[in-house]
Amino acid sequence: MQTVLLAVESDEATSSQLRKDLAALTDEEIVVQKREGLGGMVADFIMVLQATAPIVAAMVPFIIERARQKKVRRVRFGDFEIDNPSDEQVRALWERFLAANTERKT
Amino acid sequence: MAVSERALELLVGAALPTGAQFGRENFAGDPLVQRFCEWAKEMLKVEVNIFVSWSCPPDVSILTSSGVNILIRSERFDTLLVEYLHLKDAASPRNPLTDLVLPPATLRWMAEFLLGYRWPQAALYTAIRAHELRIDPRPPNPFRDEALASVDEVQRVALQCFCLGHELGHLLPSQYDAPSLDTKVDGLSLSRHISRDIEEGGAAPVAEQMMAQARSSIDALNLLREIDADLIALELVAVFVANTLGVPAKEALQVALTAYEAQSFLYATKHTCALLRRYAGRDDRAEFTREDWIAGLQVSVRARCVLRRAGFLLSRWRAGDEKQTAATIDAMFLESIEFRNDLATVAQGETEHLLNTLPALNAQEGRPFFDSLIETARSDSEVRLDLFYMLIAMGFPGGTDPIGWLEHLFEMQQAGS
Repeated sequence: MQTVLLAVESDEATSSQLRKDLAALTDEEIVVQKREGLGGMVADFIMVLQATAPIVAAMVPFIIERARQKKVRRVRFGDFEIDNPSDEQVRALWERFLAANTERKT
Repeated sequence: MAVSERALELLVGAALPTGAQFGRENFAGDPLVQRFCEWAKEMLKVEVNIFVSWSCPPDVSILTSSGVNILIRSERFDTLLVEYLHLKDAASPRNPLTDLVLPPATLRWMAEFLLGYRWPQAALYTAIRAHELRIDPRPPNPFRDEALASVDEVQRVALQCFCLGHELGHLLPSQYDAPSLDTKVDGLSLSRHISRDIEEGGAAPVAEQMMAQARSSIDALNLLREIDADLIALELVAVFVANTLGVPAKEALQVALTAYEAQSFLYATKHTCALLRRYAGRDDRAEFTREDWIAGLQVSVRARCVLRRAGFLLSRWRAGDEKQTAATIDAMFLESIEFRNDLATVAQGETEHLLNTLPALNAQEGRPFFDSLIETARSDSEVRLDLFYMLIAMGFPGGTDPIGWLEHLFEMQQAGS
């Protein structure tokens, strides 16, 4: 089964907690990388993993909850991404990703 | 820790915007930059995988995770720095056209940063305004090799290496147990730098309130880490330039400081664009002003620390009197103060204009606003050419249709609203 790139950008505490939550759902490696740039703004923490669609689907509610708390700076499912999403926008993004990938298969 | 190339590519891809292209940096055409990276890694005793990105807005960043360090270098950022340098040369005090030259240049950079922040309607408005105000018959050179060749080697190496040195500097661990704005760097506390900035800004009567605001808003550890990275970059670049290109210490520091100045302004402008995205079309003007001031204050504190360190370095390398070398560095700083003040004033003015003009990010007016702008671009071949050159400079393929790409970006943004 094809895998999906999942990336969630947030602060350090959110990233760390999300990683723990998602690690319970998969044996796939979950990496949290810190990104620092030239601008001096507080660093972003990007949680990255590749997993099959059903596994990522199981993770989406955890991401939606963090988005509801306004803790998500960016989320990406494959080639679909959005900045500073609301919980509804995360849900909509995942549905758009699924719809697009279903179309690709047909 | 050995990590597969595929795993590294996954991490890089996840950190870049969708659609960005990237690859292992092979430094083709930049042998001195390669030498600098190898030497700097050895000096700092760090290991890092270096990638280069294109077809995406300009940025330079470092990614760190357990045992893996990745530096992502943007091809476009080098040429942005070159453009800053040319603007500085063009906008000399003796040039009567300075007031006409600064706004279009600033707006063009803002347009690129706004594209990076996925706000195509704002980017298009800004790009069209830049085009309307431009007095130079030609847009900036979009071709990287030609742009880099237009700057003398010593300054070019400093421009290209400073940001890399800064990011490599981030790989060294922090050394602060209890960081605060009272932490000292080279004998002066950050709060002392802030006080001076407030006084020099003419705000002495409200200094106490402003300092309180600074204390409650600034992440001191983050600021200290950025200052550390700046200071590491300053010394690395100056030493490398002096030893590799055989220039005297004073000139080496001067080109390093110019590189820092360019990088600093461009990233401050980028941050202003991030704030515009958050606050345009909303009633939070006071909050925008506050956040913008806090960001600017940190830029100023970093610059003060860099200048102070430059003075100490010159003193050490020339075994001169500290007051004398401080005066030398001050003179370097003051030489272009008129340009920097004029540029800051222009940037502030254009920011104000955009804040008053742009509809909020997800406002309903966004679509008719964008549609009107895209029609302007579609019907004006010069505007289309300008947009095309902007995308080429960012590394997009030559066949990219700027109108089509902006429309696609807008639809993606609307779909996410």
